[in-house]
Amino acid sequence: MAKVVAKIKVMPKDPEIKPNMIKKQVEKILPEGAEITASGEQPIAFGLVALMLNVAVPEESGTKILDAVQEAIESLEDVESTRVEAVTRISL
Amino acid sequence: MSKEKPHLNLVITGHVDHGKSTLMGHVLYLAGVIDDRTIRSLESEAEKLKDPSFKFAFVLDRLKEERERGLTIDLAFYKFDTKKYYFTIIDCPGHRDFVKNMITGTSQADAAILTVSAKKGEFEAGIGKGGQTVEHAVLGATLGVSQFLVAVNKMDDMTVNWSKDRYEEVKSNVDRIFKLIERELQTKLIVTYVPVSAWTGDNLMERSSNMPWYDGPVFFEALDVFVVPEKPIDKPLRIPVQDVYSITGVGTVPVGRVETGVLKEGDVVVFMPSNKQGEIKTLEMHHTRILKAEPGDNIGFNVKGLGKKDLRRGDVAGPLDSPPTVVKEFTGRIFVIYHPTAIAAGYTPVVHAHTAQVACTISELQSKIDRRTGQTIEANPSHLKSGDGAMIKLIPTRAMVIEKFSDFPPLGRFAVRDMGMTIAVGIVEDVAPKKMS
Ligand SMILES: Nc1nc2c(ncn2[C@@H]2O[C@H](COP(=O)(O)OP(=O)(O)O)[C@@H](O)[C@H]2O)c(=O)[nH]1
Ligand SMILES: [Mg+2]
Repeated sequence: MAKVVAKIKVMPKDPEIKPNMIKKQVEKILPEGAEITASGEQPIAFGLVALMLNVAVPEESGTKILDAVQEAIESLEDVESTRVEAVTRISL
Repeated sequence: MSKEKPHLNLVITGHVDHGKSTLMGHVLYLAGVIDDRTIRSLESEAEKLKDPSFKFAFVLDRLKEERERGLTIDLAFYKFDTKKYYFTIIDCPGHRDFVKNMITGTSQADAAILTVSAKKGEFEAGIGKGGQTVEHAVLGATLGVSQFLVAVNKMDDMTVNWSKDRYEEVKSNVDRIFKLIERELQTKLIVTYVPVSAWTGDNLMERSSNMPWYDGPVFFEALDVFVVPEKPIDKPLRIPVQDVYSITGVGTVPVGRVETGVLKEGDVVVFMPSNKQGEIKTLEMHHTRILKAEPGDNIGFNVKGLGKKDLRRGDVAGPLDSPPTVVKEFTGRIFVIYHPTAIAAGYTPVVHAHTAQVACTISELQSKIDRRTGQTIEANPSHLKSGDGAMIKLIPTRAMVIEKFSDFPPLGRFAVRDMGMTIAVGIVEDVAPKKMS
């Protein structure tokens, strides 16, 4: 079964909120079927640091599950926005 | 792998079963990404499944497992290098829904591989109705790719038997499609064709003795014919705003990615459609102050005289003498990916373009187009269905910036969404600007 991995950039509400704080919360609310396969941070500007996530989802569910992932993350108090920067299929 | 070589992002496309996975697996193997011992173990795995043909496709699975465990977030599950370049591979998902994410994504595709099977029946299915060969060529060009390598695959197949005539037939048909895309998108494309067998490896790295009639570059040579795309620094500035912050001790800070042009400290820019102006005090990228930002840079910039409430996501920053275009109406050349019933005038789905998401009403279905020939099949059709190509007019339900694809490709492509699905994708053929006071 093929999977699609999306690289998602998560912007914090303000410079005080650090990527790790967001990541811990994301792990708790990630929709079923989605899985974080890697994470990191990207300094942006003026103290803002984005959380970068690779999220794997089953290809056959289409973008519905990616939308749900973005919605769930955006519902967090500490999150300003999310953006899918790239998607790639992995495996067969 | 050397990181000093220039880096190119490669999108891999092709109709299902035309050999994408086999080709990529074999290329990665030849590039030395996977060793002989591993390939032998994959070979025996494949034999157990009684399908030795999966040997190379298994390379991808093996690498995926390795890379998944890694902690990198560069999405480079598959990477390799040639004499000249360091390549990372983006494998286009087969599920058409994800096209939306490719269209609105920020990662630049620099070149594309299109795998086209020469096998009897398969080639025809790929360019036939519902086939993905045409669709993927269009998608690549829509993503702004201007250089393509077409791997005419399965030359070893019984029905092909290394035939020059079959290769020429495939090539001329695919070339016709690319010529059409060039005309329709008003863009210049460089397309290289190589007859290969992803399975046997003929013409991948070594010149094939089975095809002595072929004197062009082999696959790896053709990869080195790619060039690093030039940054569109000569175009007017366009920065779609992702977020707007109010930062203590700094002020109002929009954050976004420079798509075209250059932004410098002291520049005065206008944000559309909010129609607010301000002078740039400072720019930062990776927390470091920079004096000048270029296409591809993710920046935050501090604007004098504007409050956080003055700006919003979906605004686009541009120069005063060439402000971003706010449209009254725009003409889209679209491809309907999927609609459960039919699309008619009056339909109001959400259009996603750069950082904007705006409901737009389809005001007119101008024509239905056969994407394989470019011919109008029907003028003023009453409705459109899955698989149709068309020219349509759209009216945004609130102020929106969108540009002609031929002027600003990153701001001129869009995805149409409804009911949680990608309904259509397209490029902006024309815009009717709205008068801004
Ligand atoms: N004869 C022949 N078969 C091939 C070649 N490349 C791929 N195939 C076969 O075509 C089928 C589909 O290949 P795959 O790489 O999975 O295609 P994908 O769907 O485009 O990823 C498999 O059975 C492969 O073994 C080739 O060069 N020659
Ligand atoms: Mg495959």
